[in-house]
Amino acid sequence: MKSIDERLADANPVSEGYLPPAYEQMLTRAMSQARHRDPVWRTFRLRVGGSVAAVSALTVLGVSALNGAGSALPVLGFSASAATPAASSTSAKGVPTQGEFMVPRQMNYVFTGGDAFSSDGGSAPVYALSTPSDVHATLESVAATLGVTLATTAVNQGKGYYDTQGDGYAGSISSYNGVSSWFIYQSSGSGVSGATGVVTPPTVSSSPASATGASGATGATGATGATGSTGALGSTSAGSSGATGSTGATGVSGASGATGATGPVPATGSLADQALGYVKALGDYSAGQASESVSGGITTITVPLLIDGHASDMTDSFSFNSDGTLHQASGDQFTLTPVATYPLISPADGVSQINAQLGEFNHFIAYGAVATPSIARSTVAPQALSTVAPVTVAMSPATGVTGATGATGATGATGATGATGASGATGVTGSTGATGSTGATGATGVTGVSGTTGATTTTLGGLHRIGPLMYSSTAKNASGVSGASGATGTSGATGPSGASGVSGATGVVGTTTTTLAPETVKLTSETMQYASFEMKGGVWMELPVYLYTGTVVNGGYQVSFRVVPLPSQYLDFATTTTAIPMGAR
Amino acid sequence: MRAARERQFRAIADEATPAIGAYIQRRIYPLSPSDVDDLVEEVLIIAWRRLDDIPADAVVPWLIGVARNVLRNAHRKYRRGELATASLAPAHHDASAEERVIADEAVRSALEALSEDDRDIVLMHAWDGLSSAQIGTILGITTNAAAVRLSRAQERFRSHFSSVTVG
Repeated sequence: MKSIDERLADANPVSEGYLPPAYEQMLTRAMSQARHRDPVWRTFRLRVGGSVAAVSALTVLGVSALNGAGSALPVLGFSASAATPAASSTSAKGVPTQGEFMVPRQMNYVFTGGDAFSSDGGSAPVYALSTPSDVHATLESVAATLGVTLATTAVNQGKGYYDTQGDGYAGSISSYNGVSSWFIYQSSGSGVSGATGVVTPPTVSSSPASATGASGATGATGATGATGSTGALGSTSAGSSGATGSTGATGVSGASGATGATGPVPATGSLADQALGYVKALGDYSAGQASESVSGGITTITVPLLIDGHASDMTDSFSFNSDGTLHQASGDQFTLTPVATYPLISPADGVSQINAQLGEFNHFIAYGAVATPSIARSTVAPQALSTVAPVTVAMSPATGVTGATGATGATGATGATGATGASGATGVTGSTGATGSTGATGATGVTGVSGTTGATTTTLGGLHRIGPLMYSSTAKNASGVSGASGATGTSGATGPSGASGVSGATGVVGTTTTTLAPETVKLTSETMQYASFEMKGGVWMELPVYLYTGTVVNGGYQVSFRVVPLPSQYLDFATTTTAIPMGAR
Repeated sequence: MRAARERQFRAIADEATPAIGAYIQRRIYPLSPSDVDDLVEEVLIIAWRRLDDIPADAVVPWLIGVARNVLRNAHRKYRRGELATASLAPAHHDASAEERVIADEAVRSALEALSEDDRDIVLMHAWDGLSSAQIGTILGITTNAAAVRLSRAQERFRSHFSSVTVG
């Protein structure tokens, strides 16, 4: 029997080191990262804060001028390669590479339901994100707000990073993607000693309080009891039938499974008020409806942070022990600086953008059968229909048609006839001159050059229309058949060798076309939210997005798409060759 | 200057990446296995940016500490996403990565009974092969403190394991 340590070791799901297949590219991308960005960002803030008029001259950090366009609104330039997981799934040039393309091959979707959405766009502000410069002080401030004292048994710190360890409460904070993400937790060890008393946060009521939360998951069903053993057969001696054995006892029923953890429900109690108070005290952030979940005696209150009254991609979370003390908490510290208020395309037009730019999205949110969670971090970025160019992506499955056979090389020229033998001497008829020697064999014709193997490209055509997309796979430079060898020069009298044969011509490029049947996606709801994007120069901004949800009609699973609803003249994708990656948070 | 930095970075990455990759792979659930490479790359980017901070005598544990934070952030982001789209997502529970990947029911139950901190330290030793000194580097505590914590966590694990297998 194996020991407990052996069984624990056997349970290791990954017994050897793992080196990603794209390791070299990872190193290259990592080393292309800038190391410090703050000084540039500070310059940008000063310029924006110093003169609104100067915005027309800005060309730095994601905001470039609309010179002569009759508008004071800056153009938002999206980052070419954001330091996000989504961006890292692209090649160095930002083009999806084979094997990393995450979407299903069948990505010919038609989106319907747009006519049910509003045709009014309205307007919304765009915000620049900035993060506190002193992460250490920020973490201490957060801890003080939460009423805990951080241990200082060990401290790690670097630029934009601070981590403290020790018994009691420990924490870490790191600045990236425009915010400082902090995490404070009750560390294990000999007793908690860090609490300094309860801080009474401002009283904030959560609302609405009446919504019903999701039920907790049902506990697992107990195992079925073992079946009783069959009774022994009776004797069969003397020809008589043996008595039937008695039936075995019924197995004992398994015990019921444990009740599942409570699912998130709207938070309404004192802990919710405490959490909402923390959020207000941490930065006077606007809080949405808090939710509460309970697991293992720990109550967790999650508070979504709103931007301009809309949901955002940021939340704060607070977990409490059963005695009300803080178990752990996490969240983001940031400052929003308004850049400008932009007009928005309407939700109905946003659906048109999804259809128009189908070829540009490289991920989509799906739950269930199709996609993986990692896919849920991308969006479709809008551009005017007239400016949408067909997108060429490298895909592996279509094989180019083999090129036509090259023409056979021309036969080598016949060798010249050898010189006639000299006449015999006059007089006695001399003997006939000897026949001249045979001419040398003509050189063999040069072998025809093989055509290079055609690179397969798949072009998504039809981006401007709704309907079947044509995948036009073009195999360029297909292999040509080797040219035939030149014919051997005919023998003849001594003379020059025959000319070499002409090389065979390169084969013709073959073509194949595949048509995919479209899948209809019925979009049923749309809400406006805010999401963070990396702009040129490393600036992060919170932009309004439309979140559409719907159902793949034939698939039955739900999908969700996001669109940045700013008019295309305000968006600069010049250096962005993929769909805009969502923020890494 | 840059060439020297790149050589230093490559040497560090070559040494630590297999261990980082395996560490993340073991704990990737509920994220997708396809996220592993992205998280490894995130660790490498941090390593590049903080090259001067990496202690020469503790490259692997230092970077596993980074991986631990990156993974924790990724899980937190995932849970945020789940909350934000709760109406779309199928019901889920908060099973840990270990709960999902361990077939040995007794081992799994005993691990589940541990606190997150205990489970972390037990598995860093048993699965990642880290010593008390290395665990100390990751957690930012002394080697002795790490050894004591590891020992206590192992005791609790054995205790839970015994109760599971006997009970």
